[in-house]
Amino acid sequence: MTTERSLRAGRTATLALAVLATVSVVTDVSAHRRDEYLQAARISIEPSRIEVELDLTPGIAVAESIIAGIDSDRDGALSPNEMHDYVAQVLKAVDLRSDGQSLRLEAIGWDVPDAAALRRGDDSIRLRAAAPLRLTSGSHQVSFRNSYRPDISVYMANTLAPDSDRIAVGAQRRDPEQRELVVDYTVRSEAFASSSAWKCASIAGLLLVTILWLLRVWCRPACPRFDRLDPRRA
Amino acid sequence: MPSLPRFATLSCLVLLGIAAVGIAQRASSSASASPATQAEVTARLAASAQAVLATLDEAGRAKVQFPFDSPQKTRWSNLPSPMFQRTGLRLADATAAQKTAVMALLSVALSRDGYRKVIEIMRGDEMLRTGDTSGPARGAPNGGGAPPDRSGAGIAGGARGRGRGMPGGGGPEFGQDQYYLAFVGTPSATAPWMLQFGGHHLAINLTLMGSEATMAPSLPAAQPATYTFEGQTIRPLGRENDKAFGLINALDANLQRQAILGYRVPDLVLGPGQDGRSIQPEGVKASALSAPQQTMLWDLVREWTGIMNDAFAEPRMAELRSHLNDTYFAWSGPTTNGSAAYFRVQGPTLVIEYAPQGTVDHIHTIYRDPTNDYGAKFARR
Repeated sequence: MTTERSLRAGRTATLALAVLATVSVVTDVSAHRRDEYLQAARISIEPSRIEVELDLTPGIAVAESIIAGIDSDRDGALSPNEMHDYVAQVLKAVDLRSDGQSLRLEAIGWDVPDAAALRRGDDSIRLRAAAPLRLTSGSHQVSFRNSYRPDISVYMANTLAPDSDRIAVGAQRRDPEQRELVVDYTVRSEAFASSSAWKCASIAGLLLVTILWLLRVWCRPACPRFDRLDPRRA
Repeated sequence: MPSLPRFATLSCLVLLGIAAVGIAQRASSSASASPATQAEVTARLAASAQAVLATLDEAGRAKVQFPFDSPQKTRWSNLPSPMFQRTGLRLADATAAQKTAVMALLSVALSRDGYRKVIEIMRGDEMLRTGDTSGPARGAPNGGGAPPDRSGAGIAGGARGRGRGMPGGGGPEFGQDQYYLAFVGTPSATAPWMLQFGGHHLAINLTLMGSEATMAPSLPAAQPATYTFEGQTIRPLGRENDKAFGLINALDANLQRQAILGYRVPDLVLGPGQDGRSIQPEGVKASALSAPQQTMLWDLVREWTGIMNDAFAEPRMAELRSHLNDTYFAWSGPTTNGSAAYFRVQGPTLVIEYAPQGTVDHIHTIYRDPTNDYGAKFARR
């Protein structure tokens, strides 16, 4: 008699064989990441928030354990609710601080490939999270530490070049495994940014006025005056 | 003359002088090779692309041509097919005449060295297909062998067939026939279009607009990084490796301390999917290097920019040199050649990364211009 348990056992065995076949065929000829979980973080410092992007790429030898950690109902698919819980689990292991104060990272979106692509080790879970911040002008420091699945993971953590000209990134320090990144940065006041714009506008205006004035001076003797061209005055 | 007008005249002359210097610098950086030469190469490329199209029937042309603003632009990867699903004309499906036309097109698009590199990367993948990856000691810093000719011999008539795969045939396809050609936009001497050629460990994205061209982003990679072909040791990315080790070892202890990052970098930071992005630069500033060290740095950079036809590579190098003060060289890993070490060259319009995948025999690299990936800068003009 075929029970649900035996069916499940059969499915699991088939899946395990498929994974084994994938691992054995792919790894011997193309050493793409196989027994590591690559977690690549990019940190973006903005005047009103800090955003963290995290690309999670399981190697084919560890993909099944990652999927098992997400697929709580064991139906083989990664549902939105399961992904919601998984993202929360990952973010719980991320410690983000601004000037020593802990920040609460909220997920703002994620992309998840189908489980088959994850099993093949050729796609990533991409998640974005952000923490609001009220920055004052002056020197600041943000620290990021990722402690999710240190047993199987390799890490990367980088600071994106800021989009805002109010932010200037200074020194960056990491631990040897890139689980931790500390970034010194400076926030310029809005007045500074707008004063820079005013300076540019002033220089452009001065240039324009000067050119017009010079044209008037240089053309005075040579150019006929418009009023002299007036036929009524001829 | 009253003092105010004199001041105004002086100010105007100073400002005009500054503007003139800026214009001159811009001209010298963008046109050290004559625009006519670049335009001429673009015209030859367009003609070669049309020659490829002429070998295809209507269905074939529909398969290889995509609108300029289509998502095809960003459809590239280091992964083999079908782990990453490519579209376009696959060499395995091409006739001998079509393959010859494709290789002739590449020989116009690329420099002699660039063409050699592409062929050697493809042949390396053929080694993966056949399982014959025998070669000399891994990472041995020796020559890369004689460059292949530009006739496409050995590729145009290359072996057909699937690579190793998983049961059921859904596994990765390796081999020199598993490379795809696509045109994004209509090949033209003046209008913007893009030549895309790639497969496992290779993505060449050459965007052209009249006399201007950019190869950003492109991904030359290699596995095996060393193999034997016709009795010669081939290292597709051997010169990149050796020049980088040469540079890091040419730096004194102080400069090395600035260049070497105190952490492990396991992969590309700005690999596929990171178009137009830039990270905060790290490492030693190029302006801190001595003149011979700077020459070594630009020689290293040239390994990527020089994949393009020389007519496009020369003005690009001139532009990059103009950013000397904002260019950085960073290193992670041992400094003994033969070791697996990551390095990065980064400037305002450049990102080059070289990332061994845990072994010296499997290398990924990336070449980007964050301001001009896929010709974004050309489009803005």
